[in-house]
Amino acid sequence: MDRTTSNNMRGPKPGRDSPSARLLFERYETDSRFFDETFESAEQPRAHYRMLIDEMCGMPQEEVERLQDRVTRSFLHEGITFTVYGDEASIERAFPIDCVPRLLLAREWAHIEHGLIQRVQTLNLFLADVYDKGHILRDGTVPRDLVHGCPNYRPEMAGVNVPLGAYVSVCGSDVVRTGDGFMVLEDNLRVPSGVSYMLACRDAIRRAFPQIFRRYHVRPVEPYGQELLRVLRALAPRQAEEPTIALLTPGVYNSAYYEHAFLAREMGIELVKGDDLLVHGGRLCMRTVLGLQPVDVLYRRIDDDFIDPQVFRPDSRLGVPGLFEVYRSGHVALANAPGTGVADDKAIYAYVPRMIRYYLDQDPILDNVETHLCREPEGLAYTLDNLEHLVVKAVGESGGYGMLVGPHASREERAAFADTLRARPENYISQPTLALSRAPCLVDGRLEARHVDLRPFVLHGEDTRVVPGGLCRVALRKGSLVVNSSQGGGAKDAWILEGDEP
Amino acid sequence: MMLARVADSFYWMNRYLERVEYIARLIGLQLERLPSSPAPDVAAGWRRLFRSLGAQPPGADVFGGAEDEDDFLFADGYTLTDYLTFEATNPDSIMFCLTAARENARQVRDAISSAVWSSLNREYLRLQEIALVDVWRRDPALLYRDVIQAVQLFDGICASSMRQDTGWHFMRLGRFIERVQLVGSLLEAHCTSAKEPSEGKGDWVGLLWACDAFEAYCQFHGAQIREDKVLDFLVYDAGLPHALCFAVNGIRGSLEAIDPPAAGRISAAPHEMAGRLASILSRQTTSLPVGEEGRNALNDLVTLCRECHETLERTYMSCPTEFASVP
Repeated sequence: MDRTTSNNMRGPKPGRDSPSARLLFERYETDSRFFDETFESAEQPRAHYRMLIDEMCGMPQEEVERLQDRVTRSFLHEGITFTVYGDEASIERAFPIDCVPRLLLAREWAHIEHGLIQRVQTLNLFLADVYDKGHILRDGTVPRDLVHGCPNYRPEMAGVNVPLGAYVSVCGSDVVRTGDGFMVLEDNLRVPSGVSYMLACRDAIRRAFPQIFRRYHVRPVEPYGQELLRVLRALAPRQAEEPTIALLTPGVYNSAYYEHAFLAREMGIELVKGDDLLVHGGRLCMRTVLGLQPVDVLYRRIDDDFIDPQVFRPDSRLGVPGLFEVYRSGHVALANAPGTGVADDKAIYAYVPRMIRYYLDQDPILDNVETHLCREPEGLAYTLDNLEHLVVKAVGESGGYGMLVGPHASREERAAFADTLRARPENYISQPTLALSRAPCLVDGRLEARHVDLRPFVLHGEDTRVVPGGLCRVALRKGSLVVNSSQGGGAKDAWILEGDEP
Repeated sequence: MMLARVADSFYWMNRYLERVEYIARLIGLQLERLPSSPAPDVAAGWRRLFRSLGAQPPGADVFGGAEDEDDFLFADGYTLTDYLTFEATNPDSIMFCLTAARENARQVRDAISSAVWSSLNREYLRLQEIALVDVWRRDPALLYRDVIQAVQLFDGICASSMRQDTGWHFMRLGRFIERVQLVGSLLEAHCTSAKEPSEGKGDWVGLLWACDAFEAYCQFHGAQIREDKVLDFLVYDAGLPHALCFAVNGIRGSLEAIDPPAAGRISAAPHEMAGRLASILSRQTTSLPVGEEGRNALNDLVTLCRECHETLERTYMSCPTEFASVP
């Protein structure tokens, strides 16, 4: 991005002219191209942020620096780390979190909450439909070949009776804000992660700002574990008895292992690996010190591909042979159900607004990001004409593979990509490059603006709820729009306020 | 009900921690004596230390043969200390054992409390930041006192914050099985070396310290150190935490709690094994003889303890299909 063309403003802020405050803000810039979460203008913090900004300005510089250090250290001691693989030894690093919370007003949150509930209910109806009657496919509202050709469509799920119709029990949707408001960038319906960082982050930041936390009336995120447990219990096939619930993890070397252990502990359920489980007498059982114990609900944190080598990937050692048969016969519940990936596919994403109208007869509360399907002639034409402004993504790929970021690509790269597009248009979608909103982050004791998004967690069982909060992901590298923790991303706490005034 | 794998991690976490505490005590003791001991005694102390761990000093593999007799292998206290403390590839080093204990704790992170995890993790992080060269010229023994205290703190947090359920008893099993092996081997090494003339009688005092029992001995027997009484004390005293008898009683007690007879035992083998351990200790009506005979008795005990461990693993910690019955 060319910084010289941006409209940068800097300068002293009112009420923030103490030496330490001047230091704190000396590098902070607002930029008219990006919505700033905290400042209306370079001079003026938004009303609900004033109390927080004043508090930080009142801190001596050493204390600001100590703040970040303390938070990092507490993460290290808790073991909230991820592993960086180096040349000689792998190093454990604390998950990077930023101390400055992001604040959301009650009305902003209500908008997000209602939008996500509407979305998750719709996506569950969609899944129940495509794995059963297939009305929406017969009507042509969503093309049949798109659904059936999706790599995450699981024909094995056809006709399986899913408890409560809850295909997606846990959803983590990525919500972004631009100058035009909030939008859903993607839905994570398979094994969404990050909720433990949300909870650990809250814990650390509340301790870092005890006074100010109390003065802002922040809605609690702590009930997440109980809410999730409630959802899992509701799925149990044997309603009368106390169900045995377990969380299936790929193991200690998985980057999300901390989260798996954390959630199992929060909910008081067993944390199991594939080797701990076996199918015996038509039931899923775990190996205990005193023999086998049947499991009723499995909150699995491994992908569909790996859960049962007899049905899915035969080389998987992470799952349990025969698990799917037990599932199909109704003797164990799985959360999330297999095959949910068909509903968070990049091409099918474009149809979510149409699904909301189809199943609920409502207008979408949260907008999608404008998406052009190259499988449609007008979508392909638009994409080819505007390649230099668009991000083109391969359908069914993740992690940025097979992707073109138009504004960052050379003329030659764009020309080459255009050929690929024309050859296999059905394999691609395109979206505008998003101007993600920015929020202040502490970088070496100074505040700097960084791009952020928000991943709230939606739980769906007998009803649908969103825990008031979310993992606010931060692109910690200056100018970067990439918030993934594997690529220099971190997180900050998101405070959902009780009201619209601080 | 506890997962077999989780029980295994609880068990090994504590076997490794017992080793950490024990190695730290031996090194600390050796270092405290360094300044005031003549060189041959120092070398003999190191030799006994390695022998009781069943370990070889660094370089032994290169020089081979009668490595145990080569005094020069035991001449450089700094290298030996570093090797037994920080050498991550040495399975008898504190760092190795602490890392292994922490890895086991990580495996069962959901089953232990945050306080328990944090106390272990902090000690691990602390040792990661220390190099022997930084403490060697000051008071290196202090490092080992701190390590011992960290393990004791871990024990205390477990004892005062954990529910004393199956997991807790597997932790105790790990502790006591390891203790019988370590103390048994240490006593065995002493029964052997007591005959060797080059080593003075000071080593019985050292033995008491190594078992954290010197002060308790003096309170019980008075400060007069008699080798038969020392051995008796460390083998038969049911009230002394590091005595063999105490550890064996602990093993039996925890086994009863894990797999009580009332519930219809899943296997009788571990209980029989523990019973045999106890009977070795009770059969000796007279004092344990010093020398060859005592050494053989201790050797039997250590061997039986190893078999006991194998039976525990087979019965509870792997859940073989012969016990596969759905309740």
